[in-house]
Amino acid sequence: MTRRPKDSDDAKLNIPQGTLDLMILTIVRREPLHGYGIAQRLKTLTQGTFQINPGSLFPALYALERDGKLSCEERPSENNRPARYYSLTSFGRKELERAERRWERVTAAVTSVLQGA
Amino acid sequence: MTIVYRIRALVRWLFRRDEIERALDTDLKDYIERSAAEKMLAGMTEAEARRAARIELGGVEQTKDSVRATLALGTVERVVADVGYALRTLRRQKTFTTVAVLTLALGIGVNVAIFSLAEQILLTRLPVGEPERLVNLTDTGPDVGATRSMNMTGGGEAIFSYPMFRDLEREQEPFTGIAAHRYFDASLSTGETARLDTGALVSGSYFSVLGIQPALGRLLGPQDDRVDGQAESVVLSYAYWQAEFGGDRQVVGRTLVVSGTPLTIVGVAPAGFQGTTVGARPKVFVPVTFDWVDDPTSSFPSHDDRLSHWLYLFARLKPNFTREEAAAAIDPLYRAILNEVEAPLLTGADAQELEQFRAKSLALEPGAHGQSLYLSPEVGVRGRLWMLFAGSGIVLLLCGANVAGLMLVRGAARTGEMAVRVSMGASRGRLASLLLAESLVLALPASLLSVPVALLTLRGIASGRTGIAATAFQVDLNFEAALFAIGAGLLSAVAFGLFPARGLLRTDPARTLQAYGVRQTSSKGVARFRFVLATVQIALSMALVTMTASFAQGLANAARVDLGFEVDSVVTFRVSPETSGYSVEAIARLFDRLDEELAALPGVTAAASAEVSLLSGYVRGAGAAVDGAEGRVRAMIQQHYTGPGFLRALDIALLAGRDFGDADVTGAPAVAIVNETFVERFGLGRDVIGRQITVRGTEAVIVGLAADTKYNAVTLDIEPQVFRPRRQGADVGSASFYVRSARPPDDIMNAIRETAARVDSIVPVTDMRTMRQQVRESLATERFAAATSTAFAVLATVLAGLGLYGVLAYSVAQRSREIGLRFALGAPLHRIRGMVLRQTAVVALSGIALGVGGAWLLGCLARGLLFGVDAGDPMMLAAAAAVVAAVTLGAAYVPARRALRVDPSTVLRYE
Repeated sequence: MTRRPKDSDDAKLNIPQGTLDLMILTIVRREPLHGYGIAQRLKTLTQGTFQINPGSLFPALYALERDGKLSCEERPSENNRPARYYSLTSFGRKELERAERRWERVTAAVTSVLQGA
Repeated sequence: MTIVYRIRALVRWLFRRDEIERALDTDLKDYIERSAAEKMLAGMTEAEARRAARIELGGVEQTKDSVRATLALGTVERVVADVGYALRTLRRQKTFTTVAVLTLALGIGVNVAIFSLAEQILLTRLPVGEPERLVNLTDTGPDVGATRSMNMTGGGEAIFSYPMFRDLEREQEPFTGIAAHRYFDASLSTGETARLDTGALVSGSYFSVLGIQPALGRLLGPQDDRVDGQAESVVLSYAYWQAEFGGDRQVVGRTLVVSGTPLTIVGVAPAGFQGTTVGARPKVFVPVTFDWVDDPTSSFPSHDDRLSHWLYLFARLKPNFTREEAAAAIDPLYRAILNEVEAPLLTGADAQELEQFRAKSLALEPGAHGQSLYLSPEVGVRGRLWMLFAGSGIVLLLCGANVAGLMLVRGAARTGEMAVRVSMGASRGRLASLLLAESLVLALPASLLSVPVALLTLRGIASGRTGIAATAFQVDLNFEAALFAIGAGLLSAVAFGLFPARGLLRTDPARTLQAYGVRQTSSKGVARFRFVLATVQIALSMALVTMTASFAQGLANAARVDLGFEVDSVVTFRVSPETSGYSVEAIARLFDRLDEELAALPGVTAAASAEVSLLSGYVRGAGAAVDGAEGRVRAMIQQHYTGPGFLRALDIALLAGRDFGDADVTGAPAVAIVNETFVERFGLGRDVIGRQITVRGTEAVIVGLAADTKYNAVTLDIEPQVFRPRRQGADVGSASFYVRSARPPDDIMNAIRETAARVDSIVPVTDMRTMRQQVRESLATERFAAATSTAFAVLATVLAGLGLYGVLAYSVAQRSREIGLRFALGAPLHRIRGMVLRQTAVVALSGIALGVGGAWLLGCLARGLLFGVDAGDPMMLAAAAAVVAAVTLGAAYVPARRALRVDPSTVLRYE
C-alpha cells in the first residue's frame, strides 16, 4: 500500500498505511456513494481527525475498482449532472470482512501490549 | 473464483483507457460541483466557491496524473517484479525446473508434430485469393452405365465427363467460371531421356477461376483449350522450373515433350502453387484438350464420351451468390442435361436405374482446401487424424498432470513462504500473479524445446510410412505449427500451474505459521488432488494401451487373412506404355511379348499380367447385368482385364470351368471368369458356366468360376469380380506383371529388368517388388496407426508410472511420522506394506475402470482401422489391464520399500 503518494500537509493526522482502503470500503458498504460524499463521510466519521485530499482519494478509488473490490455506476446526480457512484462488489465485501477481522486482531494485540506494558 | 474475478477486473482496466479518462472527468467535475455547492451554502459567491473547490482538489490534471500513475505503475511494476522473482526461484530449484520443462516440452512437441501433419489436411487453404469463395462440384446418385476413373483428387461423386463440363461451363450463371482438372502420369522430356512425373490437365478457366498470377510468361487461358484433342502450350510449376531449368527466364518459348507430344512452354506458375490437391504436386499444367493416347476407344482422356467420367470440377462463386444459392441455381441446369441429353443414351438401363439417374442432383462442397480424397468422409483420413490428435492430446494431459503434481509438491513445501507473504500484507491476487509468472517462465523454454521434440516425432512418423502416404504429406514444421507450440505451451503452463496454485492461495497464515517452525505441512486436499491426478493418468494410459492392443490385434488379423492367392515367390512390376504415347496396337503387342518372354525365363514357373494391380487399392468399376429366372439382375462389379494364365500364376483356385487361354482373342467368342461373390450377388446358383453376362454393354459368356480373392485390399470386403481376357479388345494402357519363380528375388528382378529392356527400351519398369512387400505396403496405414499408438501408449504409461511414483513417494514422506509411530507401536511389516499397496490398488483399479470407458471411445474413433477387432473385447481389455497394473505395481515398489525402511527412532526424535 505504498504506491500512493503520502499527503501530510492538509491532513490533521496521517492516515495509517493500508487503512485508507479499509475505511473507503466500510463507507460504501452502507450505500453507493460518489467521490465527494466519501471524502465528506470520512471527515465526519472521524470528527475531522482524518481529512483526505482528492489527490489521494481518487487513486485509491480507481485501484480498488481495478482490483474488483469496488464497482461503479454512472447516473444523474440531484441536479442532473452525470455522477459516478461507487459500491461494494461481493468480492470487495469478502475482502472487507477479512480485513476487519485482521484489523480487530491487530488492534486487540497492540492494545493489550500497550496496556500490559 | 477470486483469481478469475481479479484477472477480469485487471484486464478490463488495462484495455479501457478511454473509459478511465471519461470516468475521471465525470468524477472530478462532480467533485468540484458538490464542493462548490457546499461552499456557496456557507455563504461564498458562485465564482469564489468554484475557485476554492479547484484549489481544494489540488489541480485537476495533477489528480488525474496521480490516478493514471497508480493504475499504470501498479501493473507494469508487478509484472516485472513477478517475472524476476520467478526466474530467481526456478534457477535455485534446478531439478524441479529441468523435469518440469522437459516434461512439458515432450507433451507439447508431440502435439506440434501431429498438428503440423493434421494442419495440411484439415486446415491449409489454397494459396489463392479468397479461397472461401471456391466450391467443389459433386453429384449424388449412381453413375449409371459410366466408366469412372478416379485418383487421389476425389471419389466417384466428384468426377464428371468432359462434355458435361463443357455444357455446365457454357450455361452456368452463379460462378465467375468453372474449372476442370485431372492429374495424370506424364512422361516429361527436354532431350533424350524421359522421366515419369505428375502432370495436370487443366481447363482454360483453371487459373482465372483460382485467380493466380504467373511467376513468368503467362498462364493457360481460354485460347489454349479451344479444340478438343489438341494442345500446344504447357505451363511449368515453379518447383519444376527451378529444378529442371534452374530458374532460367529464357525458358518461355522452348519446347517440352509431354507424353510424346512437343508443347511450347508459355509460362511458370507462381511459387508455392502446387495444384489444388494435397500431395499431388504437378510439375506441368497442360490444356485439358490434350490427347496423347492415339486411341479412339480409350476411356481417359475422352473428350466426347458422356459415359466416361474422369474430370474433377471446381468453381468460384460470383460475389452476389452464396454456396446454397449457387447450388439452387446450377442444379436445374444439371438435371436438364441429365434428363434431356444423357438419359436417352442409356439404352441398356432399366426403368429403376433410369429413375435414379434422372433424380440425381448437383451439390456444391466448400472448396477452400482444394479437392482431395483425404477430405471425403468415406476415406476416413479425417477420423484418423482426429484419433492421432486425441492420442497426442492425452500425452499432453499426462505431461501436464505430472507438472501439476510437481507444482503441488513444491507448493506444499512453500505453504510456509506463502503464509509469511500473506501475513505481511501481500494480497492473494498478488500471490496468484506471482505463481502465474512462474508458470509462464516454465512455459517459454518448454515451447522452444518442443520444436526438436516435434521434429524427432515427425521424422519417426516419416520413417514409418511407405507408398502413397510417404509422398502425400510434407514432413516439416511451419509457422502455424510454431504458433501452435507457443500457444499450447502457454495454455498448458497456465492451466497446470495455476490449478495447484489455487490450493496454495487458500493457505491460512496463522495455522501454517504455528506449524511452520516444526515441520512443513500440506493440506489433505493437496494429497487427495494428487491421487485424483494419478488415477486420471492411469485411466488415460489404460485407454491408450487398449487401443494399441486393438491395433496390434487388427494387424495380426490382417496378416492372417486368406488372400485367396499365393504371394510367396512372386515378383511384380508395372509398365505404363500409354504414358509414352504408344498406340493401342503397340501397347497390346508389348504386353503380349512381355507375357511370353517372362514365362520363358529360366526358373520361372508362371507369369501373367493384369490391368489393375493386386492389393493396390485401385479399382476399375463397372455395371454388370445377368438375365435370370426373376428378370434382369444388375449390380456394380469390379472388372479385371488379365493376360492368359493369370489365375494359375497367382494360384487362384478355379472352382469350375477353365482359365483364359491363348485362343481367347478378339474375334473368338467373348468370355469371362467370375468369382464366388459374383455368383452369390447375382443369385446364379450352381450352373454358372455358360451363362451370359453384360458388362458395360459388352456381352460375354462365363467360362470359369474363380475362388474369392482379396484383390483390392486386405482389409476390404470382397466385391463381385469379373475377369476378362485383355486380348479381347480391352482398352488397357498399363498393366502389372506377376512372375512366379523359385529364384532369389534380386536375381529374378535383374532378369526381369533385362527382359523388359530387351522387349522395349523406352517404356520404364516401375514399382518392382516382391508380392510379400506389396502385401506389407498395402497395410501401411494400419501399421502406421499401430506404431503411432504404440508410441503414445508407451509414453503415456511411463508418464502415468512416474506420476503415481511421485504421488506415492510424496505420500510416504508425508506419513513417515505416522508410519514410524505404527512401527514403534508394534505394527508388523506386512501391515505397513499393505497400507501403501492399498493406496496403489485403489488408484490403479479406479484408473483402469475409467480407462475402459476411454478405450471404448478411442475404439469408436478408430473403428475404420481396426480390422476384425471388437473394441470392447474382454481378452484385450484384460491384457491391457495387466500391463497397466504391472506398471503401477512397479511404480509403487520403491515408495513401499521406503515406507518399510522408516526408522521409528529417527522420525519420532524429530518430533
